Amino acid sequence: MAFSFSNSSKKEEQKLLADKQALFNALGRGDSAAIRALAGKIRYDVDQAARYAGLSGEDVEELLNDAMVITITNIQKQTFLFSDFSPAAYAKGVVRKLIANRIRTKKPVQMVLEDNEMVSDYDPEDYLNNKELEQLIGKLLGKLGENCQQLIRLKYFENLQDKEIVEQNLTAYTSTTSLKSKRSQCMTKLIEIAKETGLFDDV
Amino acid sequence: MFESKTGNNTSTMKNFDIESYLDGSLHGEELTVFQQEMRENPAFAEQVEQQRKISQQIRTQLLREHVTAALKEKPRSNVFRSGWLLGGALLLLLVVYLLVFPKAPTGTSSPGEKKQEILPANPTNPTPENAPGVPVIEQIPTPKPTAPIAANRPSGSRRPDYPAPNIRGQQDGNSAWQKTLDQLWFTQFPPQNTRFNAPFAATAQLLTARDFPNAFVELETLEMQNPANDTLRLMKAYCLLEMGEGAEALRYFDQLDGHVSQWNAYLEWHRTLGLLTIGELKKALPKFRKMANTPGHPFQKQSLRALEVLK
Repeated sequence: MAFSFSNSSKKEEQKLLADKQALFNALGRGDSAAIRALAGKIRYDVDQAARYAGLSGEDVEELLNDAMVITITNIQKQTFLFSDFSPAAYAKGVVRKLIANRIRTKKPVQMVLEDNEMVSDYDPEDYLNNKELEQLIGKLLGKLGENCQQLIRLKYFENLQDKEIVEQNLTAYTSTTSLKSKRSQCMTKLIEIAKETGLFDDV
Repeated sequence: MFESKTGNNTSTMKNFDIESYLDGSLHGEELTVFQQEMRENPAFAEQVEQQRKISQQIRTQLLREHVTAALKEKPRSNVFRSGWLLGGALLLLLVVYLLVFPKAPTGTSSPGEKKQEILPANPTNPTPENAPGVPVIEQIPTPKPTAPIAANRPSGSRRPDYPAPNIRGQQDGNSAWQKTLDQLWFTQFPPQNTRFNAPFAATAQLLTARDFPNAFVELETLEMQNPANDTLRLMKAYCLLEMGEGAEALRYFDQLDGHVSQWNAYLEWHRTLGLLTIGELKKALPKFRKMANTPGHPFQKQSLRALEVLK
């Protein structure tokens, strides 16, 4: 499963919105058009709910971003199944919980998003707690060389198999053994830097 | 296999593939040994846990960055659309300008002020041909003032209203080649005596309005439903040609060979333009010559002009 970053057309986004199953599948692939389509669909409601909760425009962007990340992650982890909700309803449910968390009350916002069923088994607490740490890890990843970043990205973001990476000549490594060995070194290096930075104190 | 720290005692160091364990791809004895090592060696277990957490954090962070980038990215059609809108607005301004100032008196313009601007892209413009020292390609009859306003002009007397599409490649020579194409570029849509009915009418309108990106999307959709349709092939070939995709356009033109006789001349001309867009000048020249030497060919004048430009 590789993430798509095509410069898609508005038409493509509209097509995705018309077919919820296709949207769901495309989101699971991290498809850029699907992300924009879903964000566009819920943006107005999120904006209204955020305003009602006294949040700023910047908060709206962050809420949208978080809702997309959580929705995609949960599709990939299969904790959100298509049979449960439509992607838009799910994402709005996530936003409602994020807003509730942000205003430090578990009481859901009762306004624009109230017509959506609660995403009852999802708690954004873990997501929000890990967010800062993940962003720091992202920065540390930037300290590794280009080669290491590429190897890690191909595995942990593009979700490509080592065989695919070698066959498609995506790196300089011509065997899966050498590829795996180098990536392992890169991960070890990243963990070392993280330890030096004190990131594992909380682990 | 790659991770080897199995405790503080380096003499008992073993190699374990933590990545495969976390992926869930360790099985059988390998898995049993790995799990046993984790139970017996807390340092190793901690190492595995650290790698599990960090790989999950990387996944989420990279996804977050991807989402941020995707949300910042503008959809392609919007960019195209605004470009076309801008182009349309400029065109409208030009038309208004031409209507308000149809012809400035020759005496009032400063030397060289206007003539150079008009010269290049107009194969049927009499100005360059009448200028001293410029060979006359063909005398274009001046329209009689009594001619009916709505009469169909023969395609040969139409003027190219638009420059050639941006042609890829050609490296350093690209700019010069592009200028050459601009001087001879002439396309026509719809072909003479051709009407487009459902389901092609809307797309034909987009092509007529030169909204090629959206027309292309529509054609892709139509093609999925009806891939072997000649009308669709013609429209797609034209659309691709105007988008600078000469090779692809030629592929579609080729599929139309001899299918609809009334399109023969049309196809001949546009295919030759397609050859030029892919740099096949040697193949294009004899075709231009043939059209130029065919009396009554609807693109005879354009062919003569092309030959003159390509000299």
